[in-house]
Amino acid sequence: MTSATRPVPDVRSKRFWDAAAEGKLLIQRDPRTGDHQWYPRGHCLGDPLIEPEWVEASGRGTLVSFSVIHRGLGKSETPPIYAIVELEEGPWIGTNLLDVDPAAVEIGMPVAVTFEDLGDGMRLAQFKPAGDPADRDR
Amino acid sequence: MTISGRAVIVGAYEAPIREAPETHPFELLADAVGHALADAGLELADVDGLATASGDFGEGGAAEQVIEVAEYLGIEPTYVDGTDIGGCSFIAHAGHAAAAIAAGMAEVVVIAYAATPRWWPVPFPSLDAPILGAGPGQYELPYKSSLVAHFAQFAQRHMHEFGTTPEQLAEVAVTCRAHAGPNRSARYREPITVEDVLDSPLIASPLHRLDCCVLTDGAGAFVVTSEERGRDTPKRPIKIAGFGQAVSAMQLSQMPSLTATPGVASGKRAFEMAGLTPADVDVAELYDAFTITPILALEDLGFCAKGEGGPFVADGGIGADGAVPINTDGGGLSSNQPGKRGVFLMVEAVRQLRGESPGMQLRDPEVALVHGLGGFLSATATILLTI
Repeated sequence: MTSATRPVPDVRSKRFWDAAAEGKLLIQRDPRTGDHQWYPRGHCLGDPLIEPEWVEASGRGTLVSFSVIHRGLGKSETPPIYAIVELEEGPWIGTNLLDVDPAAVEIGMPVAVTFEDLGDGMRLAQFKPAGDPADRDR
Repeated sequence: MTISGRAVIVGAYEAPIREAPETHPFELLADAVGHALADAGLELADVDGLATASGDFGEGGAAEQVIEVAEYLGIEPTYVDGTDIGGCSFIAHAGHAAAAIAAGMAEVVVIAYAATPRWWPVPFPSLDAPILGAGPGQYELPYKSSLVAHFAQFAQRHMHEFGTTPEQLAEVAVTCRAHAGPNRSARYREPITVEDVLDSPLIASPLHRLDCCVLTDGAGAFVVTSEERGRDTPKRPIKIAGFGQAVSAMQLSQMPSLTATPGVASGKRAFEMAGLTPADVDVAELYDAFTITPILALEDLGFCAKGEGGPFVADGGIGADGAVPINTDGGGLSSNQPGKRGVFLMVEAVRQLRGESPGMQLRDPEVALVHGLGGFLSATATILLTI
């Protein structure tokens, strides 16, 4: 894949992409306040001199907004969905919604992380509707 | 020190063309500058300041675009502004120019823009991905969103929180089309109905094709000078009474809200500087990249309460006889949108206050508001103009 949309890891993000390859969504936390942040940065929001710590997100969230892309980049049979998800830890993350009937998508619905294979060992965190509560707590 | 009323707009021009096949935008820009200066009774030799944002798709320039544009024009300005905050850049340029003029740093500033996105032969990042794939973009670009899908997030959330309907969104497009009717240069002039908008294809839900602005080639320019120098120009000088700007984020996930924009802050500053309120505004030129964006602007600027933009629009609030007529030339939804529409918002506001609108000219407006956005509601700039 030589697409311009393929992630370009750097020294900061290598740990993130390594974890993603193992099916883990890493986010960051401010060691002083406990506030979480997305996307990964070299500093904590609010203080450029404080380094954040990495933590694994629960992978649970709720849908903030979405759009079914009928005309645009994706030309697959099922129209792609771009969405904003609020992670259980607080931050918002941009994502696609996978494994869902576009007609069944509703703002506020619970979603759970899943991983898409990008090839060459890279995996991308994506979201899908959360299953039943037992499934989500597993 | 206040800059309110210290600087005036003395020349304004919008090229009548909407398609310019195989034409480099710098040619159109230079022509627009010439016409704007002629409108002001000035010459290129009078210009000591230049502002543009011409480094994006179809705009002709690269990273140091303001130098390239100065070079093409053949001038050596001593005041320059290459601020690029997207579509509202030229509104910000006007505010910056007013401050520079008030401070004695410049005397005659020309603010210009041209783009030919319908014909653009040079490889360039897509309009759908205005960030790079490294750094912050590595966490966003893999999701392959589109420009329309990004703006659609605001519409979808607004509908969810406030019960805004697709019919209310469509009403914005219908009103802008009505205002484009008399404008012989507008891209589209035939009246449309709410049903036409809802029957047009969904591009990115909930936005239909007619919820989206047109894509044109185009050019425009305006000239800002001191209040003193403006007294000697041929047409009524238009005062820059208030200005505000604000920036939020490019990535939607980094924004504090999907239902309020930086316009809350830029609008507040502009109104405070001018000593005016929304009730004083006779006409508003609001950036209409999509039908949701004027609705958000009406709310953020205080023309109606948050969440009431849909009913405000549906009740005729933005029409010719409404509380605040908007986009009197037809707006980006019907008239002209080559990428960064802000320059045309400024030109149309000046034309309204002079009684020269090619679209729906209001009867003797005295206060015009110009409000633009950049990125994905990532930046806003607001200006209040008075006669």
